[in-house]
Amino acid sequence: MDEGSRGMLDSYKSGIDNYVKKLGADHPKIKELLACFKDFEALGEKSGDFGAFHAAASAENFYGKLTNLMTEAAMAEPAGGRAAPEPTAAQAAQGYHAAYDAILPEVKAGPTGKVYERIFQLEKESDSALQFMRRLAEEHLLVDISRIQLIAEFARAQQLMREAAKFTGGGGVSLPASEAYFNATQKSMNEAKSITEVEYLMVARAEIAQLATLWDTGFCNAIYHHFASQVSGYMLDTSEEQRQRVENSCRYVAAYFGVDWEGLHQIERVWDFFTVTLWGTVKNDYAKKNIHTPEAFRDYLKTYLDKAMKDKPPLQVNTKNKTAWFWGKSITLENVHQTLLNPPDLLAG
Amino acid sequence: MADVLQESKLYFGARLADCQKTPHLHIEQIKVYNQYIAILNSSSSPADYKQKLGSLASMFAVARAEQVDKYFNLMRLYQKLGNPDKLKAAKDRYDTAVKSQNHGDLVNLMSAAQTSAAAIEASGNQKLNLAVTLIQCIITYMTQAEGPDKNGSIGGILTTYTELLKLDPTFKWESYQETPYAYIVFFDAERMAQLGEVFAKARA
Repeated sequence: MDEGSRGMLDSYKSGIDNYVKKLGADHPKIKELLACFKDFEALGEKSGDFGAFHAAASAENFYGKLTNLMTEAAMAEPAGGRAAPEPTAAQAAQGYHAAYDAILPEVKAGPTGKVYERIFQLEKESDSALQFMRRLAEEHLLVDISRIQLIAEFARAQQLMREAAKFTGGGGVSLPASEAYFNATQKSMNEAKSITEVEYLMVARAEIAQLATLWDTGFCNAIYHHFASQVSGYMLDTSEEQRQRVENSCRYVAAYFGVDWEGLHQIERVWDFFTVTLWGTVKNDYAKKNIHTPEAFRDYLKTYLDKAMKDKPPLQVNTKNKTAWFWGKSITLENVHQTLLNPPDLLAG
Repeated sequence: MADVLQESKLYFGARLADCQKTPHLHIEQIKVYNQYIAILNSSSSPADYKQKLGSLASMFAVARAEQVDKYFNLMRLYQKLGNPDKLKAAKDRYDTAVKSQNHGDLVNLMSAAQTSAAAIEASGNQKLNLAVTLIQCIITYMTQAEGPDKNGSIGGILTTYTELLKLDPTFKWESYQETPYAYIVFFDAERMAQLGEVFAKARA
């Protein structure tokens, strides 16, 4: 039998076992339920795979029959008038112990471990499963298990991104849209009061971040990466074709973004990438050329641009284009970086 | 022995209070928790409560309400973000949750719906990536040196455009003004129109 079919059968079996414990194997409702499960299991055995099993089980309405029988078992009283043993807090907490045992020691040592400690404290203090579940709900511990660990993971990922240069030994990460995503998600998780809210906000924040990241990727390529890579290429390839690419890129940036070389590097979004990622990556190599600051590196690159533009007609800088279009609004190029760090909340309204 | 009625009222009350903090995200769950509370309020004893619960005893209604709310929320999100692919994927899962009649249905039908939804979502993401790439290809073409490389860079435009059309047969340059493509556009209408002319020339 394949894993999917076995998993489904085990899941049903575990639910049924609870009713067997409650009513006893001789109870008429249990006999009926076990007989139905036996047929269901036999169908799983003879089906080739999970898909075939599921199709056959649906056709024969096994899901409906089992649910009805389980509902009847849930409502039934034990035979002979004996009272059904009340589920204990320990029984209700079994799953939390299993989950706790499976988590990593460093997670246990953090805020998630504290949530579990509180759950186990309530287990000890509760007289019944019902009371235990009620107290978990009242203290929001059911949702805390999901959100507290997520907040910790997002904070860790954000820290890793900020400290990327330590790990690469050079270039860092210039991704304001990701910084905004980590901030917004942690804030959302801190405010979430239900698992539904946690799930929704996780998806919503990721979707918005994906749009912002794609926008930023396109923008950075269009305003800088393309141009800068042509200038870098000209340092190695001084052919007329490469010179033309540099000139064309320079004229395109002047026309479409309204900036020359100096103006381009004054844009915060560009300068952040330039200093954090580009300069961070090459600074050790350029130290040998006695270039020790990002400003000096920018000026060094400019010498190649000047060479490519020598004796060419002057640059036409279309300053009215010193703007970008961001999600339905015109923003100045200077504001791009801050807008990515604090984007309009598409969920609002 | 626990006070079943009192503990249950407090439990459902706590869950309901959490849902009511953001009611628009918990429409179905609020209905279901209110249903449980109404039954509890009308019950005179645990046995009476159990009897009145009927099929609600399995808590399937709560599990379904959670799934219905989850995908309804995603439908509203994608409606807002103007993403028809992801809206459809969420709606498929919403419909599946609404149709399910028991725990088995819910688990199994949802896993089948998840698989097809993942494919629709991946295709939606790929469209946006290609739309970003298409603009970059046009810029490369515009800044290329005259000669064979310039002609070669037309190939990049056409290949990307063809790939995009395969995923979105309705795509045209004007689609950049509409969501979801509008979210990746960084030029205003005038500059996009200029790029559009270059695109048209390259395709000719």
